[in-house]
Amino acid sequence: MNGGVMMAERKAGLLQALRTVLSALFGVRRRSTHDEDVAGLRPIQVIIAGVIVVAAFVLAIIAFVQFVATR
Amino acid sequence: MEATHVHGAGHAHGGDHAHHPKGIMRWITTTNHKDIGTMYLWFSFTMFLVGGVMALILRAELFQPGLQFVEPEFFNQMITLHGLIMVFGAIMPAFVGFANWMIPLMIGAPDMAFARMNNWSFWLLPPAGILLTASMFVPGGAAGTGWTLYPPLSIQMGIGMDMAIFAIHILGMSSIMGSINIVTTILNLRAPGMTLMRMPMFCWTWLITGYLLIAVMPVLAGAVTMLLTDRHFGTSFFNAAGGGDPVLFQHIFWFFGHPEVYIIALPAFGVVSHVIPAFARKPLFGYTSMVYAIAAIALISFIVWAHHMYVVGMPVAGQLYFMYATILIAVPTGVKVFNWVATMWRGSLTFETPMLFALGFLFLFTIGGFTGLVLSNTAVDVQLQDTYYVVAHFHYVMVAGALFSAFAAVYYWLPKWTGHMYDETLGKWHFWLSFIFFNIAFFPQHFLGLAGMPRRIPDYALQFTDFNQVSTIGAFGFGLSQLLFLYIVLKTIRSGEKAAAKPWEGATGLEWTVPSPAPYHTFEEPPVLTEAKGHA
Ligand code: HEM
Ligand SMILES: [Cu+2]
Repeated sequence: MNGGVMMAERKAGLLQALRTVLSALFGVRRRSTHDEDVAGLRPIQVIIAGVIVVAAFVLAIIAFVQFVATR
Repeated sequence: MEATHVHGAGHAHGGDHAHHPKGIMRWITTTNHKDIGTMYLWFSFTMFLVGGVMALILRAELFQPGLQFVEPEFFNQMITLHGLIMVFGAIMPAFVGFANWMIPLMIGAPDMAFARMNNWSFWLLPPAGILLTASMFVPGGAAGTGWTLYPPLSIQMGIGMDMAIFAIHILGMSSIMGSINIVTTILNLRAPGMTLMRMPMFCWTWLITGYLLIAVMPVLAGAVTMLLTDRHFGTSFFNAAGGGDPVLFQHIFWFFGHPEVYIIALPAFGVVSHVIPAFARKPLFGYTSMVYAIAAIALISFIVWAHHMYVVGMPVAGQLYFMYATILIAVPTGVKVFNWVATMWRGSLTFETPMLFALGFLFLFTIGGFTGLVLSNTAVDVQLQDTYYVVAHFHYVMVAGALFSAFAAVYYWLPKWTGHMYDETLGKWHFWLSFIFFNIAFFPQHFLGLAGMPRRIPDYALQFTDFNQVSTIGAFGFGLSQLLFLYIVLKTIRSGEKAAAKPWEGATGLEWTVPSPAPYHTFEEPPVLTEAKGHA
């Protein structure tokens, strides 16, 4: 695929995708930041970011539980 | 589509073509999304009445302590069939019916993507409904396990249990095919210019629900198939004597069961996200964040299932994990409520029947959500598990949530379907009777649960009598009010006033650009969307 172009955009893209997903978990966000993020994002990026965030979310809760429950 | 101009809607062909069969064969062979949507809705309403009669049998028995009308075994069967029929026969098909009717109209598609499969998805339902209801009359009667079908009981029951398993298989196939159809239609058949982020919210909720269904219906099918092989083919998945584990079933069931709650709730959110803006005459507040939040809710719904299992014997760490996760999932869900309230903020509101039902939804679903939060707390749930508090909680979510939103949808789109307006006065009566009787029936159940009355029990201790009598009176009132609904719909079809193409001043979207009733074929030529701003 068009690897070169993708590589250039990718770094910012993933961060923005993560930001989009995190704000989705909260539920509302400012229109301007949303427009910024969405402009360059492809759906697949958001989906991957979503799965990553959910996995991180699960791990974070587990870590917290370990912290609380092992004392 | 606010400020969207549409060309081409007028090209829709009116009336029937000569080449499709008449009479009953029309319905059996139809591949038309409107016919199929109509059949889904009538099927759903029929099942709603059947499940409703079962509920009233339960409530009649619970009017007084002691046994008056039915045997305990039969009571258990009624519980099971009521739960299964309401969830899989009434609520889910109702929303698939709305999807069939409205999604092609909303996205400017001529029909569903797989029109023949659509016919098959529908026609699988009646056999499943018949299997469930007929299982009452076989030796040993219907399954008496409750709709959750937990082993070991579900391994011991008679042939009625096999019929329920088979019915669930069929219903599952129907749901999977239906969702493949909906997802494909939404992804591939949108009119040019209708990008995903301009798509009406109802389509978004169904797109995500479709994926949820495709993900979890096979899980349920697997669980009941394992039951079936445990019952008849010598396996021991859930049989401790053979090295299996009955708790495994609960994990699999609720891995399906919790997303199922959102399968029911999300399309209801979609409906409300159309009705509230239409009657507030303002666009939906926070469209994009709503889309993302709904996707987030769907994803997280997979990681909270064991909040239904706090008392089966879990390590404390497990209980804590599921408690925290469940409490956190409430955040995006709660924010939706603020979205709808903000949509109404400073809008010019009017309170026609669809809006009343949407507001009833908003108000009562929020109560159901709060009691859900209460139950998500492990320490509290250990007390309330399997009490009437839980029954109250999920009826606030399913009846006042999903069912009220379905009523809102029917009143909102009935003019489009039938070409006639419903009787507004009667509609308002239907709402207020439903709203008041619903609360009379279910609010006291919170008190019963807090006082310790167990669920799925035909008899109870004397101190619970008063609230049970109130609840039964409310339930019969609620049930009778639904006959008024049937009357209203029939009256609308027969003799309602002629409806305009867009009977609601504040309504937006492509579905209102075609005449009422919507012609048999619409958008054979895709409409042309000319203004880039705004969503439904
Ligand atoms: C006329 C309205 C309704 C009334 C009076 C009613 C009444 C009841 C009663 C008395 C029970 C048994 C509670 C127990 O002892 O555990 C029950 C259970 C249940 N109901 Fe309803 N119900 C109504 C509508 C609905 C609807 C629309 C749904 C939709 C999704 C629904 C879903 C359920 C479920 C899932 C159960 C649990 C069954 C089980 O324990 O296995 N109900 N209902
Ligand atoms: Cu759950």
